[in-house]
Amino acid sequence: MGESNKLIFASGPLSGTSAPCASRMSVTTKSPLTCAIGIALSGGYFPVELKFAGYDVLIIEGKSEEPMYIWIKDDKVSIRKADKLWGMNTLDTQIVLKQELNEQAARIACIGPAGENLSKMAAIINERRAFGRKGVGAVMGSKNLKAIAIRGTNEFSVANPEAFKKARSVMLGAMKESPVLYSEFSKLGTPMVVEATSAMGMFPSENYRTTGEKSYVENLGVASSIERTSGNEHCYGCPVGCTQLKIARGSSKYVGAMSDPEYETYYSFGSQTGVQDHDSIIYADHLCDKYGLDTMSVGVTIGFAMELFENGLLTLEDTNGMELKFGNHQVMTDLITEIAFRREGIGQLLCDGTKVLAEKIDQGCEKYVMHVKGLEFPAYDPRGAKAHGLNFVTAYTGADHNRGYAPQEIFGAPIPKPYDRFTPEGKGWLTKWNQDVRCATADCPTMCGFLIDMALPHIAEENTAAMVSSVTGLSLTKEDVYKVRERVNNLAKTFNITAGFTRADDTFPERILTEPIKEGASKGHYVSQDELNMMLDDYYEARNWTKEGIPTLEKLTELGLEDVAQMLSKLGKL
Amino acid sequence: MTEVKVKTIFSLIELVGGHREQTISFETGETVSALIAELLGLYGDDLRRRLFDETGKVKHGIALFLNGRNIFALEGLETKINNGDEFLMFPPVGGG
Ligand code: SF4
Repeated sequence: MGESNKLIFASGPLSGTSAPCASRMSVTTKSPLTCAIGIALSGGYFPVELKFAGYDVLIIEGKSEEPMYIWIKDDKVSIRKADKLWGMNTLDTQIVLKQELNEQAARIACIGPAGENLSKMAAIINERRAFGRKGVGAVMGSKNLKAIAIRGTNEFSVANPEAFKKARSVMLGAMKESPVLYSEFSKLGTPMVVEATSAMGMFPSENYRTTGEKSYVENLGVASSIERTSGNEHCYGCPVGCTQLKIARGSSKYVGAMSDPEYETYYSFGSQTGVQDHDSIIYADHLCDKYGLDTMSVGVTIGFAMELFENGLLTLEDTNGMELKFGNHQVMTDLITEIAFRREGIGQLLCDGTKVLAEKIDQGCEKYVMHVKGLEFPAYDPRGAKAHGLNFVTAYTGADHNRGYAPQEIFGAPIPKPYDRFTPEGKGWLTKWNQDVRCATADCPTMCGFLIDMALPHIAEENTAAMVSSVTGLSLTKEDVYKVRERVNNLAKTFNITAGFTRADDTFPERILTEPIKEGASKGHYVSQDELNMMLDDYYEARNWTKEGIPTLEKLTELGLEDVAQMLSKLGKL
Repeated sequence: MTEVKVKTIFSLIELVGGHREQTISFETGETVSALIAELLGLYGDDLRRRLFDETGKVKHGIALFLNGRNIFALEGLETKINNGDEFLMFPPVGGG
């Protein structure tokens, strides 16, 4: 969170065009949570507004002495005082700032109290969406930047309209052909995955100590989800509209709360904390949006704290008298506020995530701490999906499902070929393949990854080459796309090497390496140290990296990254 | 007689008699094919149309697991089944 860290908002080449599902933007920075490179993506309407204002990328450098916001109206950019906004939650900030600017059509990305209080789990919120993970909101807070408001009124044209029309119609055709995109996903959204991973015995439960033993399907599954759905939302230019708006029903204290929890949130505030109360999860999701927090890291941290409490490593004195027992939804929701405001006692203990909490508690609790490189685990027990898990270990951002999702293991997807989720063989190569496809066809063109997985896996690279070429006027081939994805993964890896990461950081917490899952469809499985070593060797070899996970001179030269090789050599790493 | 626990999730449940989980007993053969034939015998054409295309191939997006393992990474529909195995069928799922 030093002054020299940069915060980079980048929309992709397709954002702003009528390409479906392309209103995406990444925020990149050095993550305070992981100290590795951090990337968080969001959709909605903010990304295209930057394009309509005439910009591709916004780089924030330095630090302001006092709270400020940035106002961009087409080619006019001003940096203004935000003292009135400081302290406000993200939802009110968006309303008040639009009034202040007298510009109801402005699109805003902002931080809430969590970012202001420098929680390493702070997110940046745009509308109800989030640049959620890796503490990007804390970096924004450290710069005293409350918000970025944009209004763009420029026309956006593409380089080759005929080629664009053709490529777009291929995309739309593939989307129509998808067996899942419109028929299931647009009606159920990501929460339907609760039932899939539960049936596979890999929906993590109670900080991974009871995965497969407890079922959450009745209370958090599709039927219960549909009962609470009050409509869906679309990102700009997306015909799918996967975001499911939920309203808390019934007579509990959460009634009337409204939010759009995704699958990951049903895990983090549901199964990970042992909570079965659906409405409390909707409320928890709403609180995180409001305070500007990452639902995933916060829920995993609370689940970890619950296990510490149940094991006697946290006491009532540490918790301000709260009973941090698994399943206690009252405590789960209360803790979110404690974290967002870094409140004395339990709030201060938990607000920087699992890694910091484990360091503070010590006493051998690292074995239960579910993160890789400081980033809390996503909603898949890696003991039941080994390539998916190897991606957590090797992704340049830490335990990040979005950098190399393995649909072959989670949904039985047949591309590039069917895989057995329990075996380690071939998973190094597969993980590289998944990471590269995601990087080049979703992250770089900033295209929604759901689209790539569900409609375009068979033509992902061709689609990217055709779409990006028609929009930019470049003549990209499928092979160029292959090269881009490797360049990005090698550059990001090099960044992390310079930040001090080594092979020893590419590992799982002890529980994953030693405790087999006790019940359910993944019963008996875990990732032994030997298996992990084998998969890592296989992965590094597939990437043409050394046994220590350093990109080789040959690889960097092949990718045109000779300057990177020189830098590694100067550091004595190559 | 082979007894297999058959499980499924959301939109497929209504096509297998409304059961999220059921035990199926069958005698002929001991492969996934034989089990599916038994299921089709019980639940008819709606299930057949959901699982297979006109050429008799398993439809794109349908996933079938035996004891948690993707059958297409094993021997496909000819994968051997043993008494007490667990068979899981997914309609197309995505996201997460
Ligand atoms: S599929 Fe969902 S996340 Fe992706 S662009 Fe559409 S609405 Fe946004």
